[in-house]
Amino acid sequence: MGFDFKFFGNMFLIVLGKLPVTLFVAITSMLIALVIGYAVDTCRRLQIPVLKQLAELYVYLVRSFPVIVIIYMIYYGTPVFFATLNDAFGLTLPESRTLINPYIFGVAALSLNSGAFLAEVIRSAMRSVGKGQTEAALSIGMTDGQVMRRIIIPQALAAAIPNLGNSFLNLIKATSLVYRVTIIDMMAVATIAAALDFRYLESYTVVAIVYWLLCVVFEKLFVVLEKSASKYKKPV
Amino acid sequence: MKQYFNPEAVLTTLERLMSALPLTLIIAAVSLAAGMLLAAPIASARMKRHSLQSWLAAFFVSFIRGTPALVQLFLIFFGLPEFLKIFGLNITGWDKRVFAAITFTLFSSAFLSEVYRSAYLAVDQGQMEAALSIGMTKFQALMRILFPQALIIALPNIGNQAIGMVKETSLMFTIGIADLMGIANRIVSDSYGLINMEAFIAVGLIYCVLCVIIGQALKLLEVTVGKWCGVRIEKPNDRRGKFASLTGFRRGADGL
Repeated sequence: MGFDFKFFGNMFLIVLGKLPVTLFVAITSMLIALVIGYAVDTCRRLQIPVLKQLAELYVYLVRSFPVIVIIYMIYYGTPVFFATLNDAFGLTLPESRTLINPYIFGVAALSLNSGAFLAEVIRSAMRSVGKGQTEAALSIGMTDGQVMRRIIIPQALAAAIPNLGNSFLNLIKATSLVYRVTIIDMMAVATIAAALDFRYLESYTVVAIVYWLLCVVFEKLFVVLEKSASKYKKPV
Repeated sequence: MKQYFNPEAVLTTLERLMSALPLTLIIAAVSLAAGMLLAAPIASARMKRHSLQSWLAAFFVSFIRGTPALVQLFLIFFGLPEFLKIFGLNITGWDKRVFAAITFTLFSSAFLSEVYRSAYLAVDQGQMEAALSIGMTKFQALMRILFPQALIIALPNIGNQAIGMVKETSLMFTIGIADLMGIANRIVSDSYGLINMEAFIAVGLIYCVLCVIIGQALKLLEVTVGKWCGVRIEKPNDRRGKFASLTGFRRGADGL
């Protein structure tokens, strides 16, 4: 049994058909993770008493757990969580894994995982902007919100984009694991289609090539993003 | 209120999971060691200019870094026997753990070659020129001047890769190896789905403890190597709170 090139070619269409699923999971998780990361970093920065310790515990735990462990924990834990919510608040959330939309498992797990890493990225980016700038802005009468919006965030964003890109690429690679929680993505269709003919090597090669091209494209995209975010650095 | 979550189950599953811990550690250690060795020629090939070697090495690193580890695991597991059949080698009798070790070796070698490359470039080239100009051979200059400084620069990143490698070995169960995740899944099926989340919380806690131990060991290693190389380590004033500093994660480290 050599390498079946005809099967290899056919698999491309099948696998690429599920590319939107992967992109959806990755982009949604990234957006939620950005929110989580920013919230966690804000708790740490403003030294809010209880939330700061919780935030640090969250980052520490999630960075130590492998992604697959978090995915399985959310998969098995969400029905339990919903059941306790139902008992406590009398809601009617689904209590069985088969009734819950599997995208909830995938997006929740990946955004929780990435949120911890993004918290560190955002922390280092915010700290790279000098404190003197905040003081100067406040001294000319800007409100806190204006300082954030006009001074800190643009500069922090430019500093963070390489690391954000790195995190996003890791997130895309982590989406290869969500097929285990019944999301029908590229890995799932590759496994299913391959099982018919036992042509596992050809289908996984297709998946590998698609993921690789995806990463190359996003790498270039982030380089462009970084250039446009750093425009303010041009000398006047 | 019904009880859905059984905290005692976390402790009982821990006992059963401990039996799989040596496997995870051995495969992680072997893969990291072999990867560290393999990364050196890859890094040096990448730094040659415009040659077939540098293109091959760049392609290898780009492919390994751009594809998920799970996909690489499946590629090696399903593909290596087919590939070796061309040369007439029949490896269908090989243990699955060998395939996992090969995959993680290649995986870590790609990332470590980048670490080596950045450490090499971070040492001032003028030092090498000065060393060569006073009559040292290239080998002497490399060993006495470049290597100690590059080692100090590379060590935190190598440490991060070590921690990442331990977490990456959690994927071994997908090809049927009975490691921590494999035993956790078996616990779930053995208890007919009664003990599910507790088993994975136990697995996560084991990985937590592993990361803490490795982080502390790395800190110790950095100080020891620093003393041996005669370079003083200037630690930046790091106020990250006690949880973060325990695991020894460095700034800018990323997961997976």
